[in-house]
Amino acid sequence: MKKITLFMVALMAVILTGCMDQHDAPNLDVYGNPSVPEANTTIAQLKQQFKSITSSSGVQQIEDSIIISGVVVADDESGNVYKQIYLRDTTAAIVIGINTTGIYSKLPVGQKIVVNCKGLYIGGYGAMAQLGTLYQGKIGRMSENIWKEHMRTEGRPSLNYKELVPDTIDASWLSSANKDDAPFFVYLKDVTIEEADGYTVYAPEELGDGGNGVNRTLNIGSTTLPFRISTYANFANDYMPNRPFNMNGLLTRYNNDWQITVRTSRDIER
Amino acid sequence: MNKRLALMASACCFSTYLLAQQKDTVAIAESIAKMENADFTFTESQLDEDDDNGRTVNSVLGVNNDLYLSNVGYLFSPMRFRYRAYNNQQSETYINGVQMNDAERGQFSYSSIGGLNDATRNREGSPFLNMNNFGFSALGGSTDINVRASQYSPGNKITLSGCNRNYLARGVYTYSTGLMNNGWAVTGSLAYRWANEGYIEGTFYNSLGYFLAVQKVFNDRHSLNLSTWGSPTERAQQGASTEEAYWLANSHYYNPNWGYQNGEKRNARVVNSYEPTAVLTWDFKINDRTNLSTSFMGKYSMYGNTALGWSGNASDPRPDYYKKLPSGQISGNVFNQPLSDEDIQIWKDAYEYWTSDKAHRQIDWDAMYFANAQQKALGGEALYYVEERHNDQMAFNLNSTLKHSFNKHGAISAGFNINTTKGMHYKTMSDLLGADYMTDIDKFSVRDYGYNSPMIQNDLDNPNRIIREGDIFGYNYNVYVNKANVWSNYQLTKGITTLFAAFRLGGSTIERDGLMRNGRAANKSKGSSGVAKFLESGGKIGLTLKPNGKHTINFGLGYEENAPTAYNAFIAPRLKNDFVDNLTNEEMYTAEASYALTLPRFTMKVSGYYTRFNDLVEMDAFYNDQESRYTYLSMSDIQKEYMGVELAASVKITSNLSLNAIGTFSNAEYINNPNATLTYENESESTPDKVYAKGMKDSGTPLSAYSLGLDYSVNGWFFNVNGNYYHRGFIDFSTYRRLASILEKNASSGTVDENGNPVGVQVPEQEEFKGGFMLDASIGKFIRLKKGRTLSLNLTVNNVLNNTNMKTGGYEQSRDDSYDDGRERPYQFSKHSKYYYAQGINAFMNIGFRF
Repeated sequence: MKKITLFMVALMAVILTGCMDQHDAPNLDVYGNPSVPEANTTIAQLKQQFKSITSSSGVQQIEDSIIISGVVVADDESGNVYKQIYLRDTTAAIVIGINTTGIYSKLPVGQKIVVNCKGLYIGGYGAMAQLGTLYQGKIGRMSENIWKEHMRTEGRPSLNYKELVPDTIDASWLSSANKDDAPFFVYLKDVTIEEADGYTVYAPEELGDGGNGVNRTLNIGSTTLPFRISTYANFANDYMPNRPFNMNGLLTRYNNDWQITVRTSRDIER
Repeated sequence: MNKRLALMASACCFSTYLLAQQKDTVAIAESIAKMENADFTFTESQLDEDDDNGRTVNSVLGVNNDLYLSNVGYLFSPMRFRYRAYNNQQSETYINGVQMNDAERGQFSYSSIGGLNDATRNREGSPFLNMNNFGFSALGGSTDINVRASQYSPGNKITLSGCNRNYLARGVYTYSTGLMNNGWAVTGSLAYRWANEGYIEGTFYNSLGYFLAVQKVFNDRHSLNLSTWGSPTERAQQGASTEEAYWLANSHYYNPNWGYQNGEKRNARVVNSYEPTAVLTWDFKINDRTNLSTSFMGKYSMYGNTALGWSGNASDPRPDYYKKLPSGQISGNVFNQPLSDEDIQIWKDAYEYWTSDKAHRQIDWDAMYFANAQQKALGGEALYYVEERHNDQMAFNLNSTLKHSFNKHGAISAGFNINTTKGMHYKTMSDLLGADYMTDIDKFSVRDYGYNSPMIQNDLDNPNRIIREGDIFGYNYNVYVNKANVWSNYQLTKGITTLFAAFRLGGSTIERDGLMRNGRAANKSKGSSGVAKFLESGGKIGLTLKPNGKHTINFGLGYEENAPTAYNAFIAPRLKNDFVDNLTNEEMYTAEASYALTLPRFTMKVSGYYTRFNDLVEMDAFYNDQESRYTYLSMSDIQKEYMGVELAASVKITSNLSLNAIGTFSNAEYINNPNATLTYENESESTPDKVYAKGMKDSGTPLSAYSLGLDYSVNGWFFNVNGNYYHRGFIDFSTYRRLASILEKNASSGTVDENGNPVGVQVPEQEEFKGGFMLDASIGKFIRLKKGRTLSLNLTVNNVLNNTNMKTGGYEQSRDDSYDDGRERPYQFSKHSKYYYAQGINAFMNIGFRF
């Protein structure tokens, strides 16, 4: 019996030994390359410097020590913006092309970042300024690894940055704005979608063009804008509102035309 | 006849051991060492058993009087050899006469007795066409383990083992009182197996095993025994990967399942299993010729395995996801040189990244925590998490067996068993990786239907339910299986002829009970599926001719009609209640013949078999990379053929040197193109289809294996060396890539070729692995000490020549090589299958001390 008791004690002792699948939570607060120095250039200055290149859809490697800083105002959360983010400071906004998905998991809207542009390429995609890499003689998306080398985050994301407040615009602003300064982060009031009838969805797969997008028509008073939605957006199959609404938008340029799109369906105020 | 029965009854190791004690010590040492090693190697190979892969070995254990069967199981287990390539559900394990195979999936879980080798060594094995005392033996053979407290030899035994396999150290302590004068017997065993990191990087092992049996022998007619055991285990798993990843990591043992968290290794695929079981047995000796044995078994099995989950549009965190590999990043096809200069640069950059730091080719836990912290700062939910998929089970089993010998020429055994099983399937949030919550919706449905659709809800009755750690989410359903059987075996010997016949009659019911109303199947996911009922039957007959002591000729025929397993019976069990269309019994027909020769210095046995299956049902559930969504592919009306020859021979060259040969050449393949039902987890509807499976072989085992071995013993030492050659192993083919809807994309309508396949349909060939050679060696000694104490030492080295190029298995990626419009993809999935390799040189040292 003694032996059985001993046996039971040994049994309990082993049962009480802990489990091996236990780990401490890491506390990583910087993404990217912590040695990227402080910003020395505004986004407007950067765009101005390379304006002749970008507006002619050219491309050039940045050789100067240009460091910009800004807040992510558009990410790829919904899939409508894809493999890029829009970075904005108080002066202007620029598109950064990164050849990866799920960028928003690290760099969501509201994240302040610093980017060392030296070594990166700047060019015009449809004549709109974009940071990235060289791809078939044009501006293309850089690999995630190159991107991580050239940037660092600053603090946790917050929705309180003033960069996140869009510029309220209207039809007359549109007619006078310079396309070379695109992209813009804007707010529009009382707009309607021409194709909306309460039963039509934003971007059904069968309407997708070569770029997997669908162009709808946005009416701003008597002015119209192509309203572009990706068939991969997670709201592509939502019904479009058939009444006037206010919206946040990314106003972009594709060669000589304005285009507007949204980040997520939350940009369309219901 | 009685002699035969006695032989079978004593076909257990302990009685062999006791008998042998009076004989020479070398034979004991050899048999013990061989046993220990066979046990170890065999059970070790079961450790990888998992829901989603068939990486297990299969054999009939405990058949000591068959030259082929007694060796083949452990000899070929490093290559995960399955006896006749049969699926594990074709073999049965009984404990004290209770059928222990899981009623839902049909297979026995070796991990339920993990580490308890000493307590489960008393086995009686029976191939399909043999008389036995416990049941209607299954096609792939049946084994009954005797766990009655009184049959263990009294005393203490400590076994200590060290090895470099799944675990590094093992300790087992077993104590038995034997049958005491007061009629009581108590036996206990405690085992522990451990590795902070096994042979494969990033895998740990932490397993306890306990066993306790108490028996009371009331008189020479009645005894009652209660045995209970369990093996709580926690272990991290290995994952298969592509040749490209293995090449980049410079190792065939690269494991994509782990990564660094805070600088420490963490594995994403951890199995937690524990199956406490108890069996109560009443033995009743009715008279000298008749015994009745009745057992009642209850078990509660807990099995969970963890996996990474990611939601929203977060990117795939698996380190060997194809887009992270050099050939997945370029815009050209790596098999179609030359590449453009840009592609070469991209490839080089990715190569550099993969090879510059080990952390770069492993899971980045810190990044997942970072992503969740980012969302948390904005009040958002988890993007990355670890989920645990549970397959729990509660089962009760009542079994009764009557054995009667008429006279010295005939014997009958008969019995019944009743099983009721409740399988519980659900997943829980295991770790939110720093986030506070997640919403229970299906991200793939969001893409198709938008956030506002009820279709996206996993739990429609609680829409947008907030999940926290420990909560059930995703799916939750029970499966009820009831089975009842009566059976009988009968054997009669007259002159040189022995006739054997057996039958079985049974019934089985299957029902799913959904506990969550799924948005994709709102009207058929919650509540009962209704009950599917099956009437099962089986019969077999065998004839053995023994013209003299030297020659034995045996013929046998058998058939069975079995219910499909509950696992295969539903087209998308996590989603809805629908049974597979036209669900019927699975039919099996088999025939075999053998010849055995027994001479004083030479013994041999050769046998051949043919087995045909009709109306099989198989279900594949997998994450579909092509569609990026979870997919169920259910095949029905499958026809399969198994055939082969087996040979075993042994020559005694001198009294202490013998040469043994074993080999098999077999085939196991699909012989038709079965119907299929395709269901995506994010859709309500299932689509009928067809799979071009004709000619595809069973995978996960070499179909041919040969072994030549030498046994030598001298002065209490014994040596064994075995050379094994394996070939005709095949990859697990993707049913998805062979769907008619995929293959007929480019087919010209109407015209068919000589095989009846539409012209233009190119059925992808199934990869055959290169064969290879492995050398195993062992050495041992048995030492008799004072006061009856004994010490046995044994060292086994497997794969002495360190052949690290032997594929034991693998699977094709479920994705085809072209886009929907027919354009070729740059990344050719057909050339990037995932593989497992047999372990390189590995050793097992065992010390057993009995006192």
